[in-house]
Amino acid sequence: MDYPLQLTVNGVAVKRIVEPQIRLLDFLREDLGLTGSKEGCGTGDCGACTVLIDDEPHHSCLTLAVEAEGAAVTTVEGLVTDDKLNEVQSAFVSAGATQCGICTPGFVVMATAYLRDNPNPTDDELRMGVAGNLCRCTGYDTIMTALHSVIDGKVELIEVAPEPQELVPEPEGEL
Amino acid sequence: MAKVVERPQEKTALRVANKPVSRIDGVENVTGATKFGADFSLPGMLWGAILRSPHAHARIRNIEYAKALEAPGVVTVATAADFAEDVVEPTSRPHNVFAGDFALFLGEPVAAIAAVTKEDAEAALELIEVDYEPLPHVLDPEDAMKPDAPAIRHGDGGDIDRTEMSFHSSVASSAEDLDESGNVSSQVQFSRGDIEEGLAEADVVKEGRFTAAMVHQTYLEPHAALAHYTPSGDMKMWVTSQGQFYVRDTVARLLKLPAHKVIVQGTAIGGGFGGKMTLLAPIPAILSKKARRPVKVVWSRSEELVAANPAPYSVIDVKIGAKRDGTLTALQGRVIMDTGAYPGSPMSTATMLLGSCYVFPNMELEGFEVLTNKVSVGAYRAPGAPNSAHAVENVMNWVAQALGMDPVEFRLRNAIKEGDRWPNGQPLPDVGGVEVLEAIKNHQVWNTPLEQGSNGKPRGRGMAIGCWSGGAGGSAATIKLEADGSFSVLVGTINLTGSTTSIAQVAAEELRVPLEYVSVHQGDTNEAPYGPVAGGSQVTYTVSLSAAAAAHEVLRQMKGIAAQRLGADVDDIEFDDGKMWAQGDPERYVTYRRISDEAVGSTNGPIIGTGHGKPARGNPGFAGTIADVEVDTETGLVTILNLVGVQDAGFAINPLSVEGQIQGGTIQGVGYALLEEIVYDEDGSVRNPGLLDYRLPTAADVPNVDTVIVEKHNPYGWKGTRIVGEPSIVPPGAAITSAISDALGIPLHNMPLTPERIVMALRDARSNGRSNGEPTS
Repeated sequence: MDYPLQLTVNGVAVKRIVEPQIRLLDFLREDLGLTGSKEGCGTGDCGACTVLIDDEPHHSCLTLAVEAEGAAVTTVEGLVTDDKLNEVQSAFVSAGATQCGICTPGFVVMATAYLRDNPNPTDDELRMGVAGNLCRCTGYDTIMTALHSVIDGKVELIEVAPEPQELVPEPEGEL
Repeated sequence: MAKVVERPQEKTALRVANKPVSRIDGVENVTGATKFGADFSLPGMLWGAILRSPHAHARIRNIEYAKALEAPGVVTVATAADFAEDVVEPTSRPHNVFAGDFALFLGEPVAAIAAVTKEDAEAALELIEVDYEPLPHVLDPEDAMKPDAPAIRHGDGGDIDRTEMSFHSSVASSAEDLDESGNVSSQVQFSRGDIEEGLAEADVVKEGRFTAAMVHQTYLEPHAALAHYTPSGDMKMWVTSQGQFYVRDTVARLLKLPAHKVIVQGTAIGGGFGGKMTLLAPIPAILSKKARRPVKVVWSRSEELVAANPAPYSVIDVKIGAKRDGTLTALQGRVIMDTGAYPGSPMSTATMLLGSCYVFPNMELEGFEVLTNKVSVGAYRAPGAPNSAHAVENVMNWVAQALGMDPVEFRLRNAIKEGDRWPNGQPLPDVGGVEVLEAIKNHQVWNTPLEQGSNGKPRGRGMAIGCWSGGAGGSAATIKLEADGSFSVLVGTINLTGSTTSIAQVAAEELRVPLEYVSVHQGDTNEAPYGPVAGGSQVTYTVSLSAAAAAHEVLRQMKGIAAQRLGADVDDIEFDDGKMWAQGDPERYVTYRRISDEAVGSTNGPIIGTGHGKPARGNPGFAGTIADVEVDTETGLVTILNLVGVQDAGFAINPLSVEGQIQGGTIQGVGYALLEEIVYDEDGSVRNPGLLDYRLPTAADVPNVDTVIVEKHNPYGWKGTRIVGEPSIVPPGAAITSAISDALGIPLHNMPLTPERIVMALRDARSNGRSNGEPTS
């Protein structure tokens, strides 16, 4: 049986007919082409598929699309505002907290929500707060560095696709 | 930031190399824009699903799939019959896409279906009727070596293809394979001097038997591949793999297509660590060739944990003798490595590496690769080396303790140096083993006594070193000067570790422009010059040479045009910051932009240069770990208090990236030491095929890694560069297990030291009434 689904994804109203057993992750990736959310396990153990549903982090692999009826869903693609990365994204880039990048979308979505609710965690609290997001490349060092720089308010927001700078002016006149 | 030691003088003039640079693909990663294997789709695309053997060992009498073909959405089915001429059991895994007459492990692919939706494909799998005759199976390699064990090889065996293992190590194992029989698929021996004499002249001899579990690389991106066999006979593929040319060659061979008609684009790769080569790619390729439509296959996590190519379980015996003054006299070792259902384990490398860090005048090493009815193993970051180091380094610490010597001083006295020989007889170039040990000796953590905590939980300290030979493959790179004076670099290697950023740094350094003026593009196998597999830590090591050579060729052409324009001699042209001038007259310059314009209209034509590179030889990388731990003796839970990772990078092109490699490899070593193990049931099924029960280190399990980058110049690398990716995973398992031994006062022999194993080891030690004796756990 098909289900008429209405929700908002990254600020855009979406109306689709879906099968009720379709996972939110597949709806986002296959139906909407938002492939930023990743499937690392499909069982809620790795966190790579984390999205915000009405501002709360959820595993989109364990959520049916129809459960998001009427909700506002934010994926990693929706974190950029005014052509600037958000604080967590910017900190990840600057600290070298993204290596292969497959865990990064889920990690930045989770950390964005966690730090919004817990702006001043201890290192232990922070580590526990993001322990549901696995990363195999970094050993978490640079991720912790990035998140601490957010907590300390030391992040410079990074512009997406900045204008190129001219390297060297042409000399006056002909040579 | 990492502490960097041993800085040569010439570095002061560097522009972007040897400076920490965040990954140039970082913004793509954090916005979800990076496209990984599963993110590619095509119009009209089918989905593939794989039918796997439910038996650990069975004869396949017949496969009947007519009913499956009639199921909704199903377009085609593929089996071993589609590769009939290539199925020779057992050669290596890449030759056996599907089980042929025999299924050799539970989870081995038997057939695959392509259908309109993934659900259609999966639903139709159960309509394939396979007539299995279950056969006796064996899961433990020591059982498999017994004369009455079930034979895993059928027929004459055929030639064993060891291509994949050779990517990871440029070191030849010179010992001949001996006496292949039964389930022992390969043997090696290395000997030197007289082992009996060596042991006789020792004042202290220590020995132990060590096991390391089968662990999975656990790249967080499962295997994925999309294939499109076009009407013109091109096989276009998008594959997450560490080596797109290796995928191309494998698919071309299996499907009998010319290499240039198999066009593979390696996608962004969500981790590989040695485990992502060609396992999956031939399946969507054959399905697409049969269906004449694009086919995508994406593995689930449980398929990964059951049927990919994990790192091997091993049993290693090591006996080491030393004189009272700390001079080593003898090393005896035996490696039994469980290769699973197909040959191709890193057994010979692991055996040789037993004698890779120290000078042993007398040595006897032997290794056995043993077939079992488990998934066949593959490479995992310094394949086999963590297993070896676990055994040797723990015994080294016991010998040091028995001699009353500091373990670092004991190692320094015997450390292998330039000109010393590895067990295979190969003399070493100037390696950084001594420098790594010195860095440990001078480290603040090592020089601060470990105090016992107030909670009653015992604490201990351990250290270990290890090394990895690494690869040194040939590569080429192409650089173009673009219209505005910027440059584009074309390579055929996969950006596994951030190598793209390092290559951009090399090009920018040589061309003397800011990093923003260089972009690096990974072309497909028809566009890009050849590059080796991203394995053996070799990509940055070799492509830095070819990219520098390409830059030199581009500069040569540019100087010719600048010289003409300036009326100067070509040898007098100097350049920096996007401009060229004649020596002594920097005010009168031509810009790179102008040179590009001129070149297009000149007889030179557009400026493009290709460079070739291959390091003259591999040069092993050394790493060391210090670990401080606290053990809860009631629950067996280990808390790591301090973790120091030291590594010789030769010349760190991007220290941020090198540091990230050391941290990541060290924490993977924590997984080996404490957490990770693929557990088999008696029927040959994997008991923990998910990430809840196959437990990776989380952020809450580990401390920060205090990294030290040592830079011992390597004459064969660009500006002294050495291999980087792998060595850091080698010593942590040994250092952590040694630290736990130190805390508990009992020798420990098995990785991972899960809470259960620690509690059992303590119970055994108590019941045996000894706290520091022979093997217990």
